[in-house]
Amino acid sequence: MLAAAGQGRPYRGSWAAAGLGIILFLAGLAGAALGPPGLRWQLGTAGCFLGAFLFVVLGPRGAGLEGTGLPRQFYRTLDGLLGDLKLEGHGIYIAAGTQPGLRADRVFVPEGHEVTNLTATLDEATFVYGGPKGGVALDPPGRALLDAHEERIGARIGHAPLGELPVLLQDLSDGERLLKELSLRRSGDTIAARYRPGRYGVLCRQMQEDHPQLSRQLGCPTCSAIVLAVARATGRPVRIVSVGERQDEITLSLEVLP
Amino acid sequence: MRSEEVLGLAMAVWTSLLLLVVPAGSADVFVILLLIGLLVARALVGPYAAAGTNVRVDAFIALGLVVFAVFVVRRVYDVLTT
Repeated sequence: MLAAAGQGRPYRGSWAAAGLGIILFLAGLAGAALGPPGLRWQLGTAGCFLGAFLFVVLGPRGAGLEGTGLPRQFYRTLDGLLGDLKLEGHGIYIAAGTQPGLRADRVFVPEGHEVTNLTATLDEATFVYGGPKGGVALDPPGRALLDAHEERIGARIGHAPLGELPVLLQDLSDGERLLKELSLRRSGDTIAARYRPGRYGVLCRQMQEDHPQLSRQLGCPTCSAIVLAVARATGRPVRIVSVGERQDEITLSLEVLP
Repeated sequence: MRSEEVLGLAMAVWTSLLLLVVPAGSADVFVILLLIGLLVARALVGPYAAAGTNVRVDAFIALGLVVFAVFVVRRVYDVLTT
């Protein structure tokens, strides 16, 4: 799933399932018209329902969302893990190469809300427990999306001016367009980001409902891609202050750290 | 096997089973049992499926509930007019 997104290929689902769905639907219609008198309704209903179900759920568009970050089960597991470890700090996105020895993008979830020092050893999924440096460093959920997007547009976001990010990210997609009307406003070290989610904006809203803590710590895959893009563009760690929704817009408040 | 494939396979098996078990002429019973199967499958597989898949399955459930409501209204009407 992530590999497909990382290679810039939207996950397309199964054309075979879509074809089978169409055949079953037509068979259902035929059954309703030509079947034994007592069974026509049942044959028609069964065929049409199953055909439509397979086409919609398993067909190309139905499966297109699997490449959007990670499935819900992952977030349930991660939410449980961070809760069990009592890591309550908001995620800090760090772009590769912006910290000594850091070769990959990371999101650091600290133990507390005050982070005095980012640990230097963040390359692997580092877990440092206890003290002011406690926390866990993870692969950002939106990294694969952002990498695939950079490959698609043929441009690197690293060190791009912040004002250009809305243009660079406007076609962020995973088979389906993920956001519209992204705006970024910087005031000192605070950045306010807003965007209208694409057709499947339900992902962000569902995450805010199902996992509010995780939503603040990591953000949904689209939010994660945006925050990581800001981290790459500014070359500095970026902390998520808040994630919310207002009038069909997803709002992010970010803090650029020294 | 992806969760969506499990869902599709489960509904295919359940629909086939209903075709064999439900007596001929009981289309309303067939539809209601189909809806119940879909609700159970959604409850079991939903947490593991992508959000967009759940949205699509919910659309089928909504349609099934509308059909169920029609059956209920029709049955109530029959009872009241006899």
